[in-house]
Amino acid sequence: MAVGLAPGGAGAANALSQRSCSKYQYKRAEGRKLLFFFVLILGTVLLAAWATVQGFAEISLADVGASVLAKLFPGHFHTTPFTDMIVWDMRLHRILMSIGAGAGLGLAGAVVQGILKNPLASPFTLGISSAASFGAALAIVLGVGVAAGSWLVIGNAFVFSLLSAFAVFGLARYKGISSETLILAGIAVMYLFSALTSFLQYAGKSEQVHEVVFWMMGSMGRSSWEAAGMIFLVFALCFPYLLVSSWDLNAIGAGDETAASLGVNVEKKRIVCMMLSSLLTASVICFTGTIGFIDLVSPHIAGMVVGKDHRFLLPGSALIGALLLLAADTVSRLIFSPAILPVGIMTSFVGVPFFIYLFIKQRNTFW
Amino acid sequence: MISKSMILSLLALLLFCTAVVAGEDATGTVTVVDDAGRAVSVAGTPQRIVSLSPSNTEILFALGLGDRVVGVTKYCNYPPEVKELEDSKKIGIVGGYVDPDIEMILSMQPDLVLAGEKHGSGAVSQLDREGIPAFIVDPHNLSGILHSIESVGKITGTEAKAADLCLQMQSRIDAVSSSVASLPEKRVLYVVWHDPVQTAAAGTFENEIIEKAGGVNIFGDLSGYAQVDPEAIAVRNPEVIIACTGMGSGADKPLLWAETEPGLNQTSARKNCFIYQAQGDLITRTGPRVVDGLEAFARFIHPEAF
Repeated sequence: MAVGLAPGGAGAANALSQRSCSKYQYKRAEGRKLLFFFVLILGTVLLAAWATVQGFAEISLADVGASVLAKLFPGHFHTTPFTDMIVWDMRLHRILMSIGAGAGLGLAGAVVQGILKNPLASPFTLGISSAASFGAALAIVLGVGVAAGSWLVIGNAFVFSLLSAFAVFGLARYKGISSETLILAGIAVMYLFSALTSFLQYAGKSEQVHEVVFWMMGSMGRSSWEAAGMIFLVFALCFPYLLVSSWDLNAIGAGDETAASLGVNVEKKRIVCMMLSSLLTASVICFTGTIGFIDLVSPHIAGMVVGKDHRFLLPGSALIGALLLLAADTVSRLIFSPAILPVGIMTSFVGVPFFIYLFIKQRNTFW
Repeated sequence: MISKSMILSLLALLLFCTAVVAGEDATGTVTVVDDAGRAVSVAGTPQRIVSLSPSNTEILFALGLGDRVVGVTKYCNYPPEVKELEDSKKIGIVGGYVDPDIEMILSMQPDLVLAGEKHGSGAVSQLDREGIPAFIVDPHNLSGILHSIESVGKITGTEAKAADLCLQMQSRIDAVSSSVASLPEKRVLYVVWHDPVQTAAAGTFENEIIEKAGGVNIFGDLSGYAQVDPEAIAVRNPEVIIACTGMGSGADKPLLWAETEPGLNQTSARKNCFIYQAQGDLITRTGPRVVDGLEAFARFIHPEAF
């Protein structure tokens, strides 16, 4: 990590514009970024492995390993039904879902900040998360049929997240997009949807209120193989397109006119990216409830190291998000075991100090 | 700075108050100390009573005071007469439990308001200012419920009926205790909500009922209502799982979870089909029906004894 935190992670574009730049230095900067990714991936994998061994049930690393391998290569490893249940039915999907959800939120945050050129933008501060929450809560309280239930909840969350994304977008356009108007519009929308969710809670029956409160708190307790699969599927569908759009996002970062002169269809790009970010957010929020902070902060943390080039910023932000959320959920699972803290509380506890540390250390090279 | 002597004199005052509990002076004023330690006085027998919680409503109706109740909360749904009286406009609704409408209460001109612990700082202090007697009912355990019923009996002039009710309840509690006394305790998981799993731990009514019914709460080491690790359930291996239910749609979800969740496959409750559903209102409402809840729990935990 020490290398990743070192100052000087300015974007490739910046590096090139500097007088002292040379091909050698550019290569070195690239190398540092690749090292950063390597460290992040390794860190996530190691943390995931460690988290799989940690928990209330005391199972050794060897037993966990045997259980995992026994499923992958049946017949060669000895394991017990109890270990299998703990590892496969409880821990693994939760860990994978934390990684997927964190990556989705981190990616969505980076994309939204990129297309809106606003460091305060994120699905949370734009009201997209609270709208998704409201959509989910509405589906629950209005008594959606149980069979189609979970799909309708997800669909509803997505529709409402899109609605809010474009409401904010439209509001800000109407007044001309500036950082202030955009965030103001976002916060107005966030309050509106929070109020609507509270109203549903007020009007709903007590069992439904349980569920609605859950949407507002955020938790990984709802993880399942289906949920984790769904989140990864949406991520896998959105990520390639967004990564290919990196150049366009970089161009938009230099100004709409510049981007247009470079042949980017700015309007279309904004709308498509906004939709994909909403989809990413909704796919996560439907299973986890509202989790703030990860989406806002991951792009900044990644940006401090790899700079503003979206080719690196997007995957970097996704990886940071995955690592942060996995760390937060693991701590929330272990700290008061057997009780579990809502992960929304932990994301702030884990993320804020880390963020402040980077902020103080890097204040001259970013912003 | 509170000195020792102040505490002592406060204690002395409290003792004095308890000594004059239910004291009736020459003018017919009845004074009873409520569960918050406040001495509440009513002139004569209250005729227009407002209840600010479902449990208070149940106590009032059990004491035969249904015809004197003029206001209840929107959650008061037992006994069924409450709804009938609401429909015939004999009883008004003063709002929810945490947010009763003070103006509505005042307009009903009650001569006694039965409040809950939640109303201490809000509604009760406002009623105090208006000079309307507000009596706080806030028991913390089973014997506290009996005590509260007695107190309500005293302040409403139905002391004999209350004593009778308490005697019945006590004998049913004793019957359960003696039935399960010699039986081995069973490990019980109580599911308040399943998604994510929430349980009632030490300090809750649910916990006391589980223990009185011959069980031991597998999360007795936590306190209050807690979200728990599904792994811990598997490790602590409950022998009996009791899922909470309410009214209306979605009420069966915790039971469905207890019956189908793969993470419970290895528990002896699942293997032996000791999975039950309990009506949440019976055990969380601090009224006379808590004994029904206790008996239901005892049958779930020790079916062999009944």
